[in-house]
Amino acid sequence: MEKVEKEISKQIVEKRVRDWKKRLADLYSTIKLWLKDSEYTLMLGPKLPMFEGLMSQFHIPATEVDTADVYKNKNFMLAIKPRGLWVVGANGRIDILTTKGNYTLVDFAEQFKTPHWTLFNGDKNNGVEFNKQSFFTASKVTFA
Amino acid sequence: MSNIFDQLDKIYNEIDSDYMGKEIAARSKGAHKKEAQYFNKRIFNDLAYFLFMFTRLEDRVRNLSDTLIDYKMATLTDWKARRVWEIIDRQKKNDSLHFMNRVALLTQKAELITI
Repeated sequence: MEKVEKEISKQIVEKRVRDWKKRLADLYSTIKLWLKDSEYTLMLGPKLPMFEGLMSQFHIPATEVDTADVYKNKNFMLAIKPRGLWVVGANGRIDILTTKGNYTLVDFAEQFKTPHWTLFNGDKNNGVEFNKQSFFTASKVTFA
Repeated sequence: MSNIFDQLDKIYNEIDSDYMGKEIAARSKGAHKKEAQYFNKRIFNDLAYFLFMFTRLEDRVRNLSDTLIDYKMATLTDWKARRVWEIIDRQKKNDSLHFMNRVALLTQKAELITI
């Protein structure tokens, strides 16, 4: 198995927080691109506080992460909300909340590697790769 | 009948989904204070269930490692092989065998530490 990080340090924790924010920004940009030329728009929503265990342990100040909302014309359709960076067995989790069902996005990539976002709809054993097709399929009920 | 982990997973998801429904309803109305309250409830629910699940895991590790130690003590006769297990058995009996050492008895040596 690939060697990742052998020691936890303040620098590593800070780097991971920066990396998490960048992955979120990249994800929102990607979805924005998918929605281009459609009647749907993605807009950044209220920020969420971020102060996870390792940040506290290394005296790293609390910070905030972006959330995003998708609108059809001016009607709210769904919210994308980061749930946490340090989750068991993955490199971050995001919730996608809609009025008709909820989804979870999990990044299974090794830390600091290209994200491997996987989309789950309740069944933790049956995730699908998160791409334009799975996003629209998952959103179909909401967007219908 | 499903095991305790599946049952906890099911109940956790029911509660989490219920709060998520309320959270999204609040967000769609721009009621961000209410939304934050439900988001925080989900976080507390996460922590509570994680703790609950971990205690179940701790029990499982303890039971499996006890069984292994008892088996070694009952079957090993060669002193070279047995002496290490006698030390471990003594720690087991006076409850000083650290949890991670119990885990180590049941797993391969790890080469990777990730955070």
